[in-house]
Amino acid sequence: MRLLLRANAHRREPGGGMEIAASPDTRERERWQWDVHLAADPVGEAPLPASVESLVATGAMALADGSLVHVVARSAPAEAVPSVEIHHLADAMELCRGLHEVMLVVAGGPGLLVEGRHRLERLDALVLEGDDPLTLPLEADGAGPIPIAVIRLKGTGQLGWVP
Amino acid sequence: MFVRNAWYVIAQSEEIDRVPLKRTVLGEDVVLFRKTDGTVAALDDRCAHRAYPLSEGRIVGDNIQCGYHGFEYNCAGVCVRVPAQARIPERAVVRSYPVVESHRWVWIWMGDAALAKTAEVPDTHWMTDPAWDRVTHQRLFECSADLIHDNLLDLTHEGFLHESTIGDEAVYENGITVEVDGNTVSVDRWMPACHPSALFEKATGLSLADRWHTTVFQLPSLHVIHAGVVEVGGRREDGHLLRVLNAITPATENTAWYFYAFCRDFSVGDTALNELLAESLGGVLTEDSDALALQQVKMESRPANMPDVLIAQDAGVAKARRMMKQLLAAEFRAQSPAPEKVAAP
Ligand code: FES
Ligand SMILES: [Fe+2]
Repeated sequence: MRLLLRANAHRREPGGGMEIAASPDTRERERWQWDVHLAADPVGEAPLPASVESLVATGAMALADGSLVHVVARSAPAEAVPSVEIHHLADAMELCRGLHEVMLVVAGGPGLLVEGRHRLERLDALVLEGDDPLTLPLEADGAGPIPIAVIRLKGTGQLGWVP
Repeated sequence: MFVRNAWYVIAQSEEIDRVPLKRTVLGEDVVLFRKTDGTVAALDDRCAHRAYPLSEGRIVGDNIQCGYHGFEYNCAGVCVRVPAQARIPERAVVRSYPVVESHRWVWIWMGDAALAKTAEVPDTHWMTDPAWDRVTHQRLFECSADLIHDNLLDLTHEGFLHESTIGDEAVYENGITVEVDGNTVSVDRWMPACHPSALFEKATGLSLADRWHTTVFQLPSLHVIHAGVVEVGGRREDGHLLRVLNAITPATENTAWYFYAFCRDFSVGDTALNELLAESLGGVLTEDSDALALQQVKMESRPANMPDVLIAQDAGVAKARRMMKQLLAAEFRAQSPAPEKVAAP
């Protein structure tokens, strides 16, 4: 199940950041597993309850328009290990995803073509999980390199968007 | 609780004439009628005098006359005549609602009328476009509108509930792409090289096809399913194309109006095919309505600590529910202004 989340659909947070994706999507229905935020400051994301332990990975992405965002990925240690990579896509590349890995791609500028059919604009995100393909072709569809954040949540076992 | 600041289909055009029509939507009784110029008026179905339903009265020119003591209201809901006296009481007014008639459906705005002016009625032109043919149905489902939204956003049910007509294993065996964009959720499923389902083999003559359906849900009421079949390897735009319109209007918290139109761009004017589709798709709707009525009963008796167990195919459902909650919360905030600060004594 691919999830294409347009920038206007991200959940705004009181601190000014935004939640791009989370599992569970509706809080408190299930045990918390992971979430991914964009924040102006790397510790500015939504606080977790004090009792919840988390692993955190961050990456600073300079967007095509010159502004800077911090990509923050968190996970429950028993469920997954997060990582954040920042790439600059000049032409084309292919991303690989591991088994039991949820992968998110966030476009740092306009014109990111994924799988030849999904066009991502600034801060649009694509989530791949479960039965989705394990390789993902990306192309820059326009001028200039596109900053891209690739967030991986390596599951300790089966991991999905819906817990 | 309903999202009120939105256009909802309240009736098919042909249902409204010079006889008052009562319809319950979003928990309110509304009376509809046609004015002498053919346009539609919608008023609260309760006389200001003694609360008799106006729908029990009759139409006089462009006014509606209450059937109890004869108060007469114009299309704006203002009482213009009280038969028993010359003076018209100031409070003799009933609420009127904005209505728009578009492509054979009548849409109503039950919320803040001022906001209706800037909101467009969703596009349903396939209902009248001569390049398309269509069959339509209308039902009152014995379930909440939410259960119908869930049903349309998770079409894997076709493989089980509609096995004999439009569904098979191709639906649940192929993954989906869920897209969230503003107030729209879409769920796209591409089903390459498969049987086009029993009904579409009859309708198109194809026994092997590339097949797809994309449910585009424009919250809070309209789902347009862009679907089709094409010879294997062909392009979507060259296929047999369908637009299935599903306008869902809550009647009460646990009943909902379902306005349905199955539009196609092939075999236009084929009356035998229209008959086949009308009957088969009517059966499909009955399967949905029977199942959802059963589901409603079970949902109502289910303990609150046992929420649904969602799976990946429910991503559209989960997203739409969350967005519906956000729309409701935003309307609630807009209606309840922050309390004024009072200085401490
Ligand atoms: S109740 Fe309508 S006129 Fe009296
Ligand atoms: Fe159905």
